[in-house]
Amino acid sequence: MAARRALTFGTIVFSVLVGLLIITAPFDFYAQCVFAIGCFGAALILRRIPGRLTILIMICLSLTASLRYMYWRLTATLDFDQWIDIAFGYGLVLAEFYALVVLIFGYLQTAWPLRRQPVLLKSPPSEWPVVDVFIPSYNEALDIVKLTIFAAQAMDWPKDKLRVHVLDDGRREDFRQFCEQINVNYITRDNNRHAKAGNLNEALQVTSGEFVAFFDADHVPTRSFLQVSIGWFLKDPKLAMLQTPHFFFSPDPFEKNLDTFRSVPNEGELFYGLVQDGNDLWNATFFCGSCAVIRRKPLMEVGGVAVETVTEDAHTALKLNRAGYNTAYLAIPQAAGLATESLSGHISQRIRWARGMAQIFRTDNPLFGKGLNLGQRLCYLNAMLHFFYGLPRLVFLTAPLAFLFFDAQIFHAAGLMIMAYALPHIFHASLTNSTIQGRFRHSFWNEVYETVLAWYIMGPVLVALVNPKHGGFNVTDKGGIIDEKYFDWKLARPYIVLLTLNMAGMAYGLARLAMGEEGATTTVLINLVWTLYNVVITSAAVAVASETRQVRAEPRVAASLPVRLTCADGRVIDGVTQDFSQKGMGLILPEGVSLPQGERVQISLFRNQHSSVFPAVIVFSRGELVGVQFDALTLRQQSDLVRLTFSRADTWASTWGSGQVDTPLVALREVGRIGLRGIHELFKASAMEVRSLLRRRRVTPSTLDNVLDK
Amino acid sequence: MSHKDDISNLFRRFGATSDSYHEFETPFDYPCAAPQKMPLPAEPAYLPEVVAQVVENMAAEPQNEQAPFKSLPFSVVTPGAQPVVQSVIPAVEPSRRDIEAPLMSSGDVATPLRHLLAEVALARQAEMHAQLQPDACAPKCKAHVVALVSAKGGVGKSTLGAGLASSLHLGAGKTLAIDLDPQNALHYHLGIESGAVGLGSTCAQGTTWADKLQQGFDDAQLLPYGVLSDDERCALERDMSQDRHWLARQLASLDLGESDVVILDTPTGRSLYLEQALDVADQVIVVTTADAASFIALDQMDRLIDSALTRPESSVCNYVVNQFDARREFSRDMLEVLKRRLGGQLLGVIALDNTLGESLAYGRNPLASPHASAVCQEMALLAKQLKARFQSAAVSAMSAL
Repeated sequence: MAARRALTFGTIVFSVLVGLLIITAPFDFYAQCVFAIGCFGAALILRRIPGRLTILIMICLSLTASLRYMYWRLTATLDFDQWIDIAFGYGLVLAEFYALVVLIFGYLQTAWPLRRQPVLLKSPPSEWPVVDVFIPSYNEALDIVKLTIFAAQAMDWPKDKLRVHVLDDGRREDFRQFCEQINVNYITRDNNRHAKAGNLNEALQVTSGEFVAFFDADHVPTRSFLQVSIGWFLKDPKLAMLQTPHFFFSPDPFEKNLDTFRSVPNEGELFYGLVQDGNDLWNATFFCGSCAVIRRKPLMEVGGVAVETVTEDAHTALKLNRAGYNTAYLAIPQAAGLATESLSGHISQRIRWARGMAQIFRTDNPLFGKGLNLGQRLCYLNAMLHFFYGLPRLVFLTAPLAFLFFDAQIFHAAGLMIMAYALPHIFHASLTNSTIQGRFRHSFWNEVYETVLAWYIMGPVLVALVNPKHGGFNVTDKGGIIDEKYFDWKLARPYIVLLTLNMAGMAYGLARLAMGEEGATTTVLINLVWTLYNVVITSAAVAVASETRQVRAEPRVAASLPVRLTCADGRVIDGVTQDFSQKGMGLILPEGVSLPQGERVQISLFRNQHSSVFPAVIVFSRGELVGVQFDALTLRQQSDLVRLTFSRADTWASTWGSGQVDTPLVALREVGRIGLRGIHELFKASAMEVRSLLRRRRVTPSTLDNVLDK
Repeated sequence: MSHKDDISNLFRRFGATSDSYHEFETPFDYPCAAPQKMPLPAEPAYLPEVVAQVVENMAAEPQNEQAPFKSLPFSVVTPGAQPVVQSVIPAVEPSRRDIEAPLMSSGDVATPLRHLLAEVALARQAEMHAQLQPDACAPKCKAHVVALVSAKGGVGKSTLGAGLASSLHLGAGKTLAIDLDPQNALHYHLGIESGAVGLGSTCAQGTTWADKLQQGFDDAQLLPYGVLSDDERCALERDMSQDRHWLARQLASLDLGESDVVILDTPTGRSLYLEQALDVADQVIVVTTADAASFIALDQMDRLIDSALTRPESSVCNYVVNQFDARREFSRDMLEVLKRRLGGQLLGVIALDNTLGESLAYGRNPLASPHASAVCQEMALLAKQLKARFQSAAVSAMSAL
């Protein structure tokens, strides 16, 4: 035993020494080039062999390149003499240092996803525990929340052990009546202290089940949710929380405005596909507020849901981990919800997350305090550091301009030398991340997502870092209609400024190149390429601000389910659904069969033992495609419809992680294409603006005003 | 029907089977869902008793054969669902005898005595019959024989028979439909114009059955009942009453192979034809509909089948619910009652489809466009399930050797 420990220790010391040697070895230009090309070639070949070992080796290669770069950067390039160089130069170094730290922590987090499998319940249902289901709501429409309530009621769990509670912080009469009608518990309180966290805590006081399942008002659980997720709690008595992915059946503003729904992984997929799974290895899975189960006893021990910060969920998980309990992540989507509709809503949600994380960083920093192991500390820390990207991102987007405009020597080194060190760092990091994240995040999209948000989250994060008490809680609005296509000028302003600056910088740089400045050609070229990249990214960000029209008030879920139509004349036709919603369906009939618009039909839906019939009318018909709209359904029919559609166990899981795998060059082309579209939209919108300005000033349709006012 | 099973789809993703999954039905006690009471068109007082009895049977024997259910489009309701039914239907004193119970229970007292006596008399007659013909040993037919029977008319035996004849083919084997019903209607369903010459015709061109076969839709061959004179019919029925294995001998003369299928269409209720059919069939399919009249007739049919003493040992009795109208709540509830009563014996459910009647009228093959109607697919599914049964029967026969 001792020998083994000594051996392990020896190996670690040896590896560290070799690593240090490799990182600090000084090379001249040609040696560095040969070394870099060798490493990169090895990585390109390795990439073709799938497996966990490949990923670990690629991470080592990437760390070597990046650390060599950083070492060289800190020791050989900071010899500034003018104040402007010092200001820009150190600013850039700090931003780079931040990026490197996040890169390393990111590797640590995602190198080895746990890929936990569910534990199935073996005991008879009479021995299963009692579960309280909390559905907190504040201002969501009843039509949306209804879906969640029906689905929660339909979960396969003994009915005397499943208690559904609607926690209405809006204290609305229609909610109370609805809950009464369908026999679910309706809980209100006389104040709104601590927003959602307070709402949950209040409900914890008046309920008693051994477990609590949390669903946001617009997250619809499948019927298998509890039987898939409770098993681990019975196996591991120290397990306090199990999280499942947040899956969205409607496109978020990025996907909607860029038309990338289901083709490019969205912002959340990296987190739920990879980061949480990686966290799980270190026993540091976060609670994300919804689609999760918590054991009541430990939750009460840590004082209920945390109220100190605006991201009460992550903070609660941190407290549970500190108290010595385990948290787990199960990467099987067992609930699905609505993504935020508009860009402004999306941004304000992210602002809340960023502010909350900064608050936790200040008030309950995971690096310090009792109860956590090193892995947990680093995972939590990275989650918080991640949200500090605002300022560094803006620095990267403007850094080359310092040279192009002001001739600031932010890099005190020869242009070729910079390339020999920086390019391996960038290329290795991109390639490695693409290999690790391929199914959940495409290359360069991270930059687009961050660029859109950078300006907006920078302020709140800095404010929260200085004064964690400042700022309130805002609820994300969902399920609305955008009735006309428009360009969100107010939101797009920061990226338009960035885009204009970069374009100007590029023009200026090209002019300098044309004039043939003495000795600066390489440096100008490097900065021009960098600026071009920034132009691509910012123009893609501009494209996001062009809000697409949303036709349906109710988003439809694409799914192919068997369906049977019975026409008024008794004809029976079998078809499949194309999509479904609460109010209607799109159907594909067998070849050669069509039905006229306006015809009344009975729609039968099936689930192995269950079939139900819904009266409907055909509102759209083109060839074999028909759209039907249900008549006014009774409560029982509505509930049945939810059971046969939204609460099916396999709908969400079947699309999970099965998207297109990333290839960096394809991704770059895609981002470039979207960038061109962004510029085109911007010109079009500007032309319209100028035209309408000649007539009268137009009212901007969306604002961020409600974000910071509380 | 695996695409309907969302749970096994999900569980397959992480390499588990859905066996350990439990389903729970929620009682709907929503106030505005009031109009869901069962409208009973006929015998309004009768049905609840039966249902209550079925529920009781379920309670006594919750473990019906589970295995064959996996392939059914609908499967049994878990025992946990019983309270639902009990709350809907007030428990009524069982007044009808449970025919599956071998011994009389206290509930049997209410059964009319004449029924019991009739049963005993039937059994005695059959026994005497058997003693009269001790030498008559049935020749074994290699082909798979499916008999379609029912105690109530108009449930679609001939339609189903024709559908099976044109959709059930085993490899290269023949499929042969034999019309044992004096109505002589099966040939219309298979698109054969003339059905004058049939199994009872003695004075026609051919003398053997093989010569009288006619070609119908989808390579199905048909032996019609024929248009018989009174003398011919008397002669035929005399042959049947004298020889219990008459049909078996006739089939043997056809020299059928293992991959051939024979479909027997029988007249409604008890008859000599039915006895002959039960004597040879290794798959007996009771055709029923999801209504009260058919439900009541099920008991009679069970008695008929049970009293057929000469049935081959391997013979299996299954049920098909035909003309199911999913639009009607009552039909759906009736189907539920049938499912509970029949359990694994319920082989399939065929939807009501008016195009079948139209096809018959115009002499079209209803199964010609297999995707256009739901019935075609259900018929195909039924054929598939029968095939699977044949195969499993063959396998068990092999292992028995």
